[in-house]
Amino acid sequence: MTSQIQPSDQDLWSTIAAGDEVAFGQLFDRYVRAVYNHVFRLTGSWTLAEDVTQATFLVAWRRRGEAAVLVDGSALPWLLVVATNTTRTEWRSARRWLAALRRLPPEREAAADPASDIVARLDDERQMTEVLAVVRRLPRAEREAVALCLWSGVPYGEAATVLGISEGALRSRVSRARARLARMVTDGNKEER
Amino acid sequence: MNDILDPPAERDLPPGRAARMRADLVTSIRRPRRRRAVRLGIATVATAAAVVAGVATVPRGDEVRHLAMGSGELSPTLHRAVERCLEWNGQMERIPLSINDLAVAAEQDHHGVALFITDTGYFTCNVSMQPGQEISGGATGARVWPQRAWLPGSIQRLLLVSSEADGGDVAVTGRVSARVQRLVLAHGDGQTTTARLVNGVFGLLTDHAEVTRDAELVSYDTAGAEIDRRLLFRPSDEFDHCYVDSAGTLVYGEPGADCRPAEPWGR
Repeated sequence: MTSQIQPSDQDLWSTIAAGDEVAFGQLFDRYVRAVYNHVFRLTGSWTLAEDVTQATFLVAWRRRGEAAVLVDGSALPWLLVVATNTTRTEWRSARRWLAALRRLPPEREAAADPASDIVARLDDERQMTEVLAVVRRLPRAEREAVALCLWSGVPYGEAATVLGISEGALRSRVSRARARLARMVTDGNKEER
Repeated sequence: MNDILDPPAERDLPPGRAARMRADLVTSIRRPRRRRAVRLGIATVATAAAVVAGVATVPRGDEVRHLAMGSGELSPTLHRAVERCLEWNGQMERIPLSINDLAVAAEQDHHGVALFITDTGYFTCNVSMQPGQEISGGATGARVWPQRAWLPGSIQRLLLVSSEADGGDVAVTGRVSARVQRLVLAHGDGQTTTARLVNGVFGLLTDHAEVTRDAELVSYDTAGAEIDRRLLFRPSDEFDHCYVDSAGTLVYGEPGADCRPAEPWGR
């Protein structure tokens, strides 16, 4: 019987910093799902989430020489912030351009997706669009704090470190966001009546 | 958090996509020496282009707009974007491609899009060239494009980029059959923009428009008669009918009794 010990993020990152692409592949395998879903919750588009996820890992590779990437031994909070910035850069720089990129007819591999999965993903996008319609009314800092801490489940301490603010300030952002969202939802319900 | 603000459950990437993304990433980081050489070559071109652009096409501000129907019409900035697209394609080793395969390219507000059509496939690319920032973007394509010889009717939209999620300014490219002599985008607010048609390919770039979700692409024949009208923002793989080629083989849409003849396309 054999057992394999998974290398820690610290071990992986040290190897990646030395240019090891195998270790980079392991880091990708470990966190691609978390990054992909985080970006989806920011954009409401699974397609865009794929593009930004790929861009995020390219940025991670380019910045592999940076020492302060790990927070409490985890690379995830930093990756999620990189993903957030990548998403924001895309949308901000696109101000009057590139808000939606609709591509050529899907390649044959797209046909491999079961129809039920495609329908479910469309439902996800509809649901997320509704959520984002409310959340996007928050100030950007609060919105991103919600995505990072409440949706992606990054602990406050780790998120604060990687955002470069105090944990108290981050908790305040989330608290204010919660209060605003509650008011928005309540006001919305009143308007519907 | 309130239920109404709960996001959908998490998902994996679609089957095969994670592996492909991983392979693309590893490929792009694996060959530093070659990439560096290419990058140096591109940097030389880019520097030259930037200098020329400073004289010729107003590189500052958000007013630069240019539509090129082929490599012979590229502005210096668009040339730089296209070179970058070719570099990305080379790194991914996706499709045998040269600048001569460029069908349409457009730029606005420091963003460029390009559509290449080869003898067997296609490649499309989107480039962000913000001043002072690293050039970034994305690309997709297929070495083999089974539907290359056929259109779902007289027109097929291939690439659509818009400034807003549901409209604003748009850049649109695609293909038309030989019987289309004029193609117009009706914005949905009474305004229109006429596309350029060259060798079966069209390109269209609006100027400070407010294209709506109801916008339509309207095509006309040589006599000026309308022959097709379709929603701009409708997904390109969604059809009212199925289409079959001259052999009766289904080319577009779902199998059904009401299939129409697909129209042949060539350059």
